[in-house]
Amino acid sequence: MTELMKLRADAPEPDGDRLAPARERLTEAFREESAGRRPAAPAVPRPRRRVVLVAAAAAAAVTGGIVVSRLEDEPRQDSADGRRVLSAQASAEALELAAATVEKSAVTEPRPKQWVYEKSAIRVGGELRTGEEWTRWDGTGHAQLPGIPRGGDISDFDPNELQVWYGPNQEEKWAKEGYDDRSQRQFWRFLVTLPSDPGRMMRRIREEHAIGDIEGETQAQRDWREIEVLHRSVLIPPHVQAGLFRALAKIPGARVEKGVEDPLGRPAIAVAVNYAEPTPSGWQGKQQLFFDPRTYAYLGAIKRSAPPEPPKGMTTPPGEPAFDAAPMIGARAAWGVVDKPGARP
Amino acid sequence: MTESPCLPPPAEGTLGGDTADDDAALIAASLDRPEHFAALFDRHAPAVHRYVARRLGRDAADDVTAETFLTAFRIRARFDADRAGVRPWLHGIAAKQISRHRREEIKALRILARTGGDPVAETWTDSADDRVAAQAASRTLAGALARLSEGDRHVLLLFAWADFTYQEIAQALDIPVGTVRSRLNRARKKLRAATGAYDPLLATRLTEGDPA
Repeated sequence: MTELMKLRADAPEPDGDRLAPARERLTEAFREESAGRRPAAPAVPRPRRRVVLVAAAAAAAVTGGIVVSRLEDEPRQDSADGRRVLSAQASAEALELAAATVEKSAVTEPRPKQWVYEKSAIRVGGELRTGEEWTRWDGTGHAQLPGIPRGGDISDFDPNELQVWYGPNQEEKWAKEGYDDRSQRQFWRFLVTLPSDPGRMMRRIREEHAIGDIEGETQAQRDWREIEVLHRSVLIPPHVQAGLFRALAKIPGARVEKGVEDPLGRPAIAVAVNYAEPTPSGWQGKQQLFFDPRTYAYLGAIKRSAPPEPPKGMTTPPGEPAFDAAPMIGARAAWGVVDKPGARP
Repeated sequence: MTESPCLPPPAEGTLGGDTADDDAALIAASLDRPEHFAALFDRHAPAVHRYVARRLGRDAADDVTAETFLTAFRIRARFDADRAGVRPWLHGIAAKQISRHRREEIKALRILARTGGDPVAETWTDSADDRVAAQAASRTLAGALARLSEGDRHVLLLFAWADFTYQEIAQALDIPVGTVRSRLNRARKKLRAATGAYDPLLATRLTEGDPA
């Protein structure tokens, strides 16, 4: 062994207790970010192979600003027969109907101390897993199930115990520390300022730079990405929901699919684009957004990434598909506005 | 949630493999569900901590490890799996943190060179009795390490102490592989000039680690 390799070679690995404070600081950052979750995720890292997930979605009905989930007992529909892709003209008409429908919905801003509830379901290898989150409207609280284990001794950790985090004055704190995190309240207040006209709305959204530029991306690709990310926000003002449907209608190649099922087999309509070539942001193939066929509430998305390049220096034998690009599927199972963390609509 | 790859919530058990793909998937998943980032911490923090402890001592390693993962979490959306693996990415962030402690690192190396007592190793040896006075060779080596430029020291120690390949060092420090090679050669020459010893094992690893 060389002198250099011997030098301080007895440096020990830290145990869990030693790392616990650092882990705690990190989980604190998770909670802060979740409380001030930016609905806009920045530029997507180019997906790698086997980034797979199947998630479940449930239909929901909007009633008077509170969204009531109808998770169970949703009748299944035979998609083999009923599924059809609409023409460009019929797609535009269907999206206009969606816009006109959501425009009339009565989504109102929650009170500062109310909590936005969201249940997402993901299927991993055939197994359904769900997670629930509560985010206080003013960004000062976040709760989740299952919880995150703290570092150190986790023998008494119970994932089914609601973990609630509170932090005062988060909106001021983020601004002071130079982060662009926003509370749901702040994001809503940005959205209500948007013009109804879809072209001007999308321009304002692009100018906001929430998801960042990707070199070489067309405006249509960028708008699709913006619209997909914006739908992660649970509450969107009605005129913006409508504007997003009208903006989808303006994306060349976007088509409405009727009579489809979401990944759980629940009835849905989909809006889809199909990228024959990889986009600069790394997507390729069919990209779908799912909506409830009656209320047009957002249910989820399926995204397909371009097959990643093999690592440098690695070659693939001819005819052998070394890299797959499985779809990434996410969905919103249930959501609503409640008065305290742990409560469900 | 639509970025979320196929990952079980952290509370429901550990992830399957230990591959770079899993790491990248974890980062993608954490964009929507930050708690997925905890699995990256559990996977990589021990090695990062040990490496930093070896350079700065255990107490500084506590801070640097915490800052490294907090920074990584904040900038995770900019992580580009095509450009770097997660391990080099994390060590690159740690290197910036280590550089902030440059004076302390050099000071400790100089004390080791001058007195044979190593303030860094003392952070994990319990009592003075356990301390083994450094060999003359180590003292000379420490002096030479202290005289290296910060950039050369990062390259050399990532190579010798973190077992990084040339490619990984290039990714971590965001420099071309050719620069890694020239920095390593320069650092090795300086160590050799100082210690007067040819280092066969290091020389072998230098050859093995070089893809060119």
